[in-house]
Amino acid sequence: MIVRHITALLKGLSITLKEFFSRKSTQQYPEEKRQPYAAYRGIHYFRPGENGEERCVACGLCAAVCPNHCIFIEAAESEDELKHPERQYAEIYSIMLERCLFCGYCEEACPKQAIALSRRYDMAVNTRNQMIYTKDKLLAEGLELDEESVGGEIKKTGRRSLWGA
Amino acid sequence: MIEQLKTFITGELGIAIGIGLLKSLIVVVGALLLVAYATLAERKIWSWFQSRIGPNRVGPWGLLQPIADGIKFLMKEDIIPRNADKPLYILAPFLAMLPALLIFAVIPFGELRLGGYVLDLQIVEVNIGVLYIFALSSLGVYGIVLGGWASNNKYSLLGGLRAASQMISYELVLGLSIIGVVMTTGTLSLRGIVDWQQQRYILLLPQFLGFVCFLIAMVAELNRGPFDLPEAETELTGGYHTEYSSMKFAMFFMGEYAAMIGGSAIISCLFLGGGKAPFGWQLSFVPGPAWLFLKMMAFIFFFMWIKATFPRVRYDQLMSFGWKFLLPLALFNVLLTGVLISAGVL
Amino acid sequence: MKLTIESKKVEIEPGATILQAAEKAGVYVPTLCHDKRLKAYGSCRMCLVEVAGSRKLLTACSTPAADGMVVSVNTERLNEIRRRLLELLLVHHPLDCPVCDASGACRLQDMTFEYGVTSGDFSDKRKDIPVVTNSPMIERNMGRCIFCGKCVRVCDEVKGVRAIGYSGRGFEGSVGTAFGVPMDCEFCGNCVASCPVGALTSKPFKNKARPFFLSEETSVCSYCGTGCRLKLDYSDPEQHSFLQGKLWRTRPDDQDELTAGSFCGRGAFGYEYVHSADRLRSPYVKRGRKQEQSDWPRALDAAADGLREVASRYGSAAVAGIISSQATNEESYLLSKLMRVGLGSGMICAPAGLGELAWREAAFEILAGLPTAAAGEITAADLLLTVESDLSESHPVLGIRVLQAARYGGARLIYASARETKLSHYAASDLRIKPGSGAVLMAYLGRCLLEKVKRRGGLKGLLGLGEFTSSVRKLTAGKTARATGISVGELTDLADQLDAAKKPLLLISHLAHETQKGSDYARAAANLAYLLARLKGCDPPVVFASEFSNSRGVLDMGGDRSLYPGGNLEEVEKIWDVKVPGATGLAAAELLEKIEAGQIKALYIAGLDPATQLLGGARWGKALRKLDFLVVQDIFATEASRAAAVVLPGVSWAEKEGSYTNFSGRVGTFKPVVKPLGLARTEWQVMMGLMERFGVAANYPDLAALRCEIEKLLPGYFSGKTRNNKPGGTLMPFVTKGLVEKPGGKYRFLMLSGNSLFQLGSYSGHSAALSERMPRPVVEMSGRDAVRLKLANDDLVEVVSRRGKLRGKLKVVEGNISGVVYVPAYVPGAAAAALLPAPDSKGRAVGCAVAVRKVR
Repeated sequence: MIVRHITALLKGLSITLKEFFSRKSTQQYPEEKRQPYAAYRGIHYFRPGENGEERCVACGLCAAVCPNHCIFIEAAESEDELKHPERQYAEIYSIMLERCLFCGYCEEACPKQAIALSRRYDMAVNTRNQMIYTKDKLLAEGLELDEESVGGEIKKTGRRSLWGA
Repeated sequence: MIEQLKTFITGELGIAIGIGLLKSLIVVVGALLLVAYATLAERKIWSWFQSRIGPNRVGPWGLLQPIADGIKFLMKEDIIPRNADKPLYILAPFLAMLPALLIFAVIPFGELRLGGYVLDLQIVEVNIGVLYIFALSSLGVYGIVLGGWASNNKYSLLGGLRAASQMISYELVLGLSIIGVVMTTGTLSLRGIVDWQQQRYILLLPQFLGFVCFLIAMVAELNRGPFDLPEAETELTGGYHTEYSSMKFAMFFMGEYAAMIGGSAIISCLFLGGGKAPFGWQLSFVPGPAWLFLKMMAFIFFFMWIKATFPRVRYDQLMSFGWKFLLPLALFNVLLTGVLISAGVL
Repeated sequence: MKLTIESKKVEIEPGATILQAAEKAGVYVPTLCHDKRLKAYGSCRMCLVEVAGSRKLLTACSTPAADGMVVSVNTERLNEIRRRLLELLLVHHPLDCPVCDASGACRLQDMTFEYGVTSGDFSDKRKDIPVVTNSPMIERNMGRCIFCGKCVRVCDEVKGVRAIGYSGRGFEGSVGTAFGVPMDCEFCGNCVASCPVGALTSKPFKNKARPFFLSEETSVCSYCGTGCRLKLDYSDPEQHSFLQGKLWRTRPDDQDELTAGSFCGRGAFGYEYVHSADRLRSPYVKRGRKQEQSDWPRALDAAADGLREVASRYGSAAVAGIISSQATNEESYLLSKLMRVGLGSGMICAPAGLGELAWREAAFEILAGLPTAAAGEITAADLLLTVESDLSESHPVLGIRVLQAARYGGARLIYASARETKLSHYAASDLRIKPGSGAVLMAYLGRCLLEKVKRRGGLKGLLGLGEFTSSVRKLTAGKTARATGISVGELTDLADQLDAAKKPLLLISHLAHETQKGSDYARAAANLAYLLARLKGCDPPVVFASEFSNSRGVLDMGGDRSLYPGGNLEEVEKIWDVKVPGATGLAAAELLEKIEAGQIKALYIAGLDPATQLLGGARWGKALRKLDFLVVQDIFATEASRAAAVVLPGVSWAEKEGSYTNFSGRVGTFKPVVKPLGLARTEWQVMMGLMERFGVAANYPDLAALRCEIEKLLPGYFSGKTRNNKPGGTLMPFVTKGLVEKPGGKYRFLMLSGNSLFQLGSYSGHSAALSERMPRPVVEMSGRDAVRLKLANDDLVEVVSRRGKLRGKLKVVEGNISGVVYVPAYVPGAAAAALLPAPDSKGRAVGCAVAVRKVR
């Protein structure tokens, strides 16, 4: 019996020893970045409109569907026909990312395909205020993101088209 | 007055004290350096066992990590809980660290040849070195028990209590398992034991049962995994050091590592012949202390290895293993050694 | 009649439609164009039902139910038809729900969802009609219109305004004004509220909030004395982070039997003052000559110390309180208790609306004995007599009831006034009488009725009969005809009509600024009401429409010196356990005189600005500066608050709990929906803080506890059981007193004043939409006078009295009696009060002579 126990212990030791010499799976994060799956839901962004207009019309569906109530919008009326063709626009649009659970409902609910979730996941910041993504930040995000972090075709057309293109 | 001082310093006693201080300095600084790097080693080795890389951001290969850690510990806020027993609370970390460092006083590290001069790295040779070590190692538990008590926290107290009972149980095994060595060599002096082995043979195989008992009991004495019940972070949120922060916590930490290094040295001396080259290799260019160091490192690696491998044992398992298995085994080893000695085999 | 709907048996009155029967049976029938206020229309066809034995499908809203009918509502065939109908509507209806204000509260959206219309077999181009934004307050997005016609019908049938109608044919059809000019109507908002989709939108609300984020709370309107129930749509940040806590809009409550789902411009667009930037946000305490921002403990201490010092130096009678008629019942009660118990002063005055001296004697009689009729009696009446009162303008929702009764209820509307107003157009007899002669007219009618009542022996128990009889003996038809300017024939005809009517009803407004009404008017009205009651054997048939939301409640709560909560001094002393100072009248006029004479040294003003709201405004402005110590509690900075030693910021009705008592004694309670602005605190809590400082027990943890105490004095007040129907009543002798200030010489016009549709009290001036609609007074003048003065519509004119002047836009009303100009009161920056003389201490109608000249 003792022999059996001792072999069991030795077996355990041998397994760990094997791992000791194995190839390490650590990724050196800021230098090597993990490429998430195409459907990964990361930081939000505003998709730029085809003619440079703002897509968001502050309909509030994203805020309504948000399970954590982390989207805050104040709608207003705009005079700028080019920037806001539908007159109504979001005067304030902010997402409290600390509360967000990245379910992606906002993206699904959006009738204008304005908001989308990118594949960016690096959101560590120094203050809580920086976790509040305002409209400017979301718009800038939308313009900056490259094909990779947007997630290719899936992101471009929206996951599911409810309202037609 | 100055003249007297001069004569004193240049006198025999003065020089002896000087050399003693120098040796202490070398040993203590060396030990603390070892402690510091043992923490890094532990993190690194664990990482490797867990298929990770481990700390590699501070300095090349993370070599400056211990310094960063040290600075961090120093900068941290030192919190004393409002209802803690303040004097004891402050005293406890010192009590945990000091005995561990004092053990280094009697360990025969061997000789260092510097040109023509020979420096004996053993700070002091006492003929009852083994007893001294046992005395100190049982003192080490006071730090833990007092820390657990003074924190006025139920987790700490439970940790302290576990430490006390664990110490008492395994102290016996520890003591009994080296009776065989003492019987064989006929001395209580560590230097004597090492010399005996250097002249004859190492005691690993003749005293194999004793070695196994000693090794297991020592892991338990050191509160290291899989016997790290006093701190058991998964159940006691840190055990005796739950409430400790900053440098006080660091002292507990250092005490533990110092004890581990000291323990490695002792077991190397007792069973592996200290600085003796293994397998009778005639490699005189490798100094004795280096061999001891290698052996110690091997043990330290072993400790880390088992901690990375085995899950923490349950408290009742720990107790029954100690009392019902190890203790009889150690006693049997005493008997066996006696029989073998009287049979003239040893 | 019995019929079966969806296998449910239901019994109904003859004449009811299938839809009404279904409602009674609890069967849901989808409708888009139906409105219970309107005649059946049957345009949307959503309510089609199958009736056993009929090959055709019938519209439930317009088909009268017949005995033994078996009706199916939810068959597969019907639902398929409804689905098709919706598909057809959605061919043209744009799918711009994301930017549509109705989204979330849209009937079409709901039904599309309900019937699962996800795609259509038809396609055509969607309407792309530009939004019509040229009208104030209301925007028309005709692309979204589904031609249910509700707005057009509401405007016509309910309001009688006909501001909008259909134009164009077929695909080009839309709802709009004649020739596309901007809307110029009453802006009652009923068309917007009735629109089932988002075709009509309210400008202050549009594109700002989404209905599905708004919480709803039933409340009472804070403006006039009608006391309409309103639904407040507000955002609760606790529930949705979409919006900040804010009151976003008001909607009429169709469950309210008083309003039947209508409201007026003030109710629809007058909520914006709640979030006005002009609101007071922090207490101020005067230090030296400057008011400095302060905090509550310091401000309350300063107020209490100041009042106490004046009371100890000059006696407690030197301290007075004056309370707004828009204060809640609870506040009025607390102020009454604070003044009487805390300061031992009986000097309390509730001036606006009812408390003016001209009204006092009659008012007490009315309140004590005369139950004023509820709104429902307007609809039930067969003769409506309104004398020098235009309820359709001062109380628009009561005006709706009057119009409905006159147009569809078979009631004869007799409208006697110096002005031509909307009611003139719908009146069976439109009598243009001389200004201020309404009292004589009513006294004469009373005299005629007296004889008839006497003949039928119905005078038993009526007090004051002898005095009244002798006082009107000489009031012959000829004399009355001369005084009123109408013919003897018309007068006798009127008396006969009153006699012949089964349910006559007298409609009387009493507004603070009505210069032509004195105590004789009030007496005549009360006398007439008592005599009518005797003649018809009913309760006195009279509607005294009180001016402000709580004109009546303030008096019920003892907000006036002569009135105690419950009216019984001993009872009050028992409940309060303290000696309460005795009563002599203190009207605003007396208060003003006492301040001017230096008898009153300290004043606590709760929620009103005497300079712009009370008669003799100019004198008030000076008088306030004479005071040693002035505390003003208000929600806006006013002339009074700028002169105050301590300013206590109050909160609007949307931020506090309270109750208003309407003209007929219905108590409407309301709850806070938004947080108080800045440091502002609810008035009742502030008053409690003051009471504590005066050592008065104010152990009211909440309003419920306070109401409990009030109900000890006024049993059943908050559950509406307090109206005591005293059968007796007292007739008062009638003496024609005439006007104090008659036109003549340089000031040759008589100025009449009253409440406009858009401006009432101080709140409307801070509601952006209302102020934009009426930024300056609209001065009405008869055609003849305009020709003589060479004035035309929209001319900027200056109206000058001996006390002040204001500028306004001229509106020529051909039918007005000449020699009269009409100026709406309460227009910010042009307060009619500043022109008017102070009330007369003998109770005469003040009158006001003015000159009008064109401004170049």
